[in-house]
Amino acid sequence: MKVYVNDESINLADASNITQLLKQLETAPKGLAVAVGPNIVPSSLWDEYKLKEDDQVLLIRATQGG
Amino acid sequence: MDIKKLSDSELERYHRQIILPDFGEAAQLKLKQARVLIIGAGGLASPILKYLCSTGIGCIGLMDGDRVEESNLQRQIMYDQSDKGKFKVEVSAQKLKEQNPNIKVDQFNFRLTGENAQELFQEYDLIIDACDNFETRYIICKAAQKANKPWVYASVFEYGGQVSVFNYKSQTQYSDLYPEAPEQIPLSDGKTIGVLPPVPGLIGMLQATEAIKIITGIGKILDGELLLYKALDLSSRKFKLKGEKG
Repeated sequence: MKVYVNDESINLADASNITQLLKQLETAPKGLAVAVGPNIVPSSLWDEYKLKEDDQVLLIRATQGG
Repeated sequence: MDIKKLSDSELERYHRQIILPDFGEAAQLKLKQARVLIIGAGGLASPILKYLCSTGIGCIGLMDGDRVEESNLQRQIMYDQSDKGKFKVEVSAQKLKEQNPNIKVDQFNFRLTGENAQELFQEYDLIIDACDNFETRYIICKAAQKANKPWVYASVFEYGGQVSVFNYKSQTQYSDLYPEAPEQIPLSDGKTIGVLPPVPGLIGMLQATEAIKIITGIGKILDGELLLYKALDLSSRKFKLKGEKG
């Protein structure tokens, strides 16, 4: 299936969860928030949250500047 | 100074906000009686301080152990060339007293630690995070929960920023958003973080606005939500973020 990650199209195995997506993208999970559509999915749910075709995923990095 | 009512000069000074719908003298009095603690006195804090001071927050606590450096001056608009080498907290306190003699500034010329946070937070109604590091943010997160105080979070990086209000009605926490700091801190040139000067200015003003809304009880607070701002395409988006109890 196809999902969008930060506006880029990505091919992903059907019914993949967020943990699997991050693994495929080789993205470090620490300091990362993941939004699907308008909702941020807490990291405690990344294993069980199944992505769907055409989901809009946004990877949000923790930043520290002030 | 009588903290239970507004003086004639205060009524005149704050007239343009007192006449706002739903504001009135009652909201102004809440601001006068409010005690706000700002952690960090840099790029975010510069506009926060100026606006909270001009708006008439009764007491501003300011905490930062740093002195003004040349490289601060492109974005930390509280400071001028002649302030180099001086403690930020001292310079800020002096300038704020000049800007508005009605307000009180508490100076904390040192860093926030797990040890000093708890007692200090008890003394204030609201905490504003204007710091520049993850360690301090996790200290704020923990101490705010223990002291039962809401806090207005923001951070900036390069051309963007993020804002939220934590430990407020929904009980959403910074640690719900980011349970752990990143292992590799994002840097722009391998050494430090690049930032476009107006970005912390704008984000700091959003923090000041949320602080005023929380104190006065006006409007809808950025509680249980994260706002992302990107300067390069002038976009902002809000995301829902549920706390453990949400």
